[in-house]
Amino acid sequence: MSKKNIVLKSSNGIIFEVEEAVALQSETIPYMIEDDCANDTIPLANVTGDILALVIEYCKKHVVVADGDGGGSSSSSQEDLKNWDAQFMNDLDQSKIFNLLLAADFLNIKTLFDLTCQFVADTMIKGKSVEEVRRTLNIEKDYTSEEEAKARQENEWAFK
Amino acid sequence: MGNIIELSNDLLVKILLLIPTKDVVATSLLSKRWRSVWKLEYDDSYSTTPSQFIDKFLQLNHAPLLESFHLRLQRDFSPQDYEEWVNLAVPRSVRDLELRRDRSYLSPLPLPTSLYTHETLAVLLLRQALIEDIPSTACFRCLKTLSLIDVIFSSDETVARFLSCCPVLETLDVHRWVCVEVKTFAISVPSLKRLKISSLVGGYQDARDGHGFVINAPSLKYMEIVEHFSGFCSFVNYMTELVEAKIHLRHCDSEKLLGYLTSAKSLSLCLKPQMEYSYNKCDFDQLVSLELCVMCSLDWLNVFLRHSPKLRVLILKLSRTCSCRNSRNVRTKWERPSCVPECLMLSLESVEWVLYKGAQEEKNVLMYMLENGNFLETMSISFSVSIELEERKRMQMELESMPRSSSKCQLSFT
Repeated sequence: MSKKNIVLKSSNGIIFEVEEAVALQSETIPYMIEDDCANDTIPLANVTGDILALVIEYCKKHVVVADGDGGGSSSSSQEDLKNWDAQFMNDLDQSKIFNLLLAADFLNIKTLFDLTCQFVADTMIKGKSVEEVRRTLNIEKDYTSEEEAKARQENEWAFK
Repeated sequence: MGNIIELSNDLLVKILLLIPTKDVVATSLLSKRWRSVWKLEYDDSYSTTPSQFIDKFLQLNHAPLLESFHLRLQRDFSPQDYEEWVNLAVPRSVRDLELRRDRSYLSPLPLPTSLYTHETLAVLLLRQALIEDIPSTACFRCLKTLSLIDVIFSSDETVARFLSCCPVLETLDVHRWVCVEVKTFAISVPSLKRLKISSLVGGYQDARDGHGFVINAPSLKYMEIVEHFSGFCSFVNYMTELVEAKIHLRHCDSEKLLGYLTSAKSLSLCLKPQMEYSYNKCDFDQLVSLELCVMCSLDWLNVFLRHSPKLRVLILKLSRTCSCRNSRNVRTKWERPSCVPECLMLSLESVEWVLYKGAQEEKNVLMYMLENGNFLETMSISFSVSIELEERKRMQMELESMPRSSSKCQLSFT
């Protein structure tokens, strides 16, 4: 069986050609293929080239190889994949992480979406004080001190 | 670029779901925006111990008021659990309650009885609930918005009784599959302003003759009915306040139906084809904007041109998802009207053809519009994707060369 390639075009016009099995980890892409059968390049208006490159790197690593030797899903390879995921995320700066999350959501790649959400949750919010989270995520505090006191009072039950 | 500010609330909620409750609630102190992000949007597919989470949450939360409580269950819980959660939430004066079972293979859960006397409820969404016995004391005194998605009612009477418990209801959204227990779905709600009924199926379905809707809602302003198997849809009152209606009905008597829509300003229609050219009812004398499905409703075009003296915008659409595609009895015949309709001479400003294929019938309609539309300003044509570029150019030239009665009429092609 010959392998079919799919051409993806990022918002800034960078072309990526990938194997179908790699692209089809996105649940959005098949719809785009059906919608526009005349054209073989799929334009992704919401994803820039550098982010699309990361998405493809992830999808290539996670592609389920159907070569029939049955050795694809042993526990060690699962473990390897997990380590690879952790390393992959650790190497990214915050801006890339959020763009990757948006791309995974738009392209509907569930495992990548879950991975980025989990990473954000674990490294940027969980177990941190309000001030720490604000600093980490560059959130501007727009409460006046009265408003903050009111918000605090509202949810007092959780702060005990 | 690449800041958490760019994430939608939906995405933020998904991240918050991965964080312990205490940390989640603490995010309400981050900034004004975050104060509203935190709500109970608990999706049980994300956790291994959902019922513990909900129990813990409801017990931890001693706030006297709980603004919204949304339960979206994707697993099988016992009706007792379900009832208990509702019982814990109800005394906190919940205003916005959502109880959904998001897996169609799960059997519907009976509606907890404590709900029926819940005075503060303003918004209620039920999905896959079972409504059988309604207590005599039932009253949703403040309920303004109600969504019934795949809700099973035990009988015609249960539907009528349930809706009669909503004296101030303004928005009703009903989505249902054919349900054998209910034949006539009667909506008699004098306060209702917005109504949406949907039941979509792919392909052609024969009418279920005994099944349908009876609508008695004289204050309706917005109505959307997209329904593919009911045999009838009848109205009890004229809706004099009706502004906008979208009606896609395959099997109902179109002429009778149109008689009730005459006060609308905007209509979108996909109707059962006309059987005879005999529409002699009132004019659509408020109608400004009309969208017609050319697949099934092109033969209604002349009726509307003749009876809509103020029409300004006309959209003729070959919808890609059009449900009438497989309908029988589809006729797309069109004949030039015997005399030029008033709206063409005096009011029509814009004509749009969505998914133009260039068939003779289509060409004739556009040629007639250009020839007689004295006040036509724009005619936009979007070609069907199946038309090749060469062919497009040819059609474009053909349309551009047609004589126009309005000198300022611009043609645009996409």
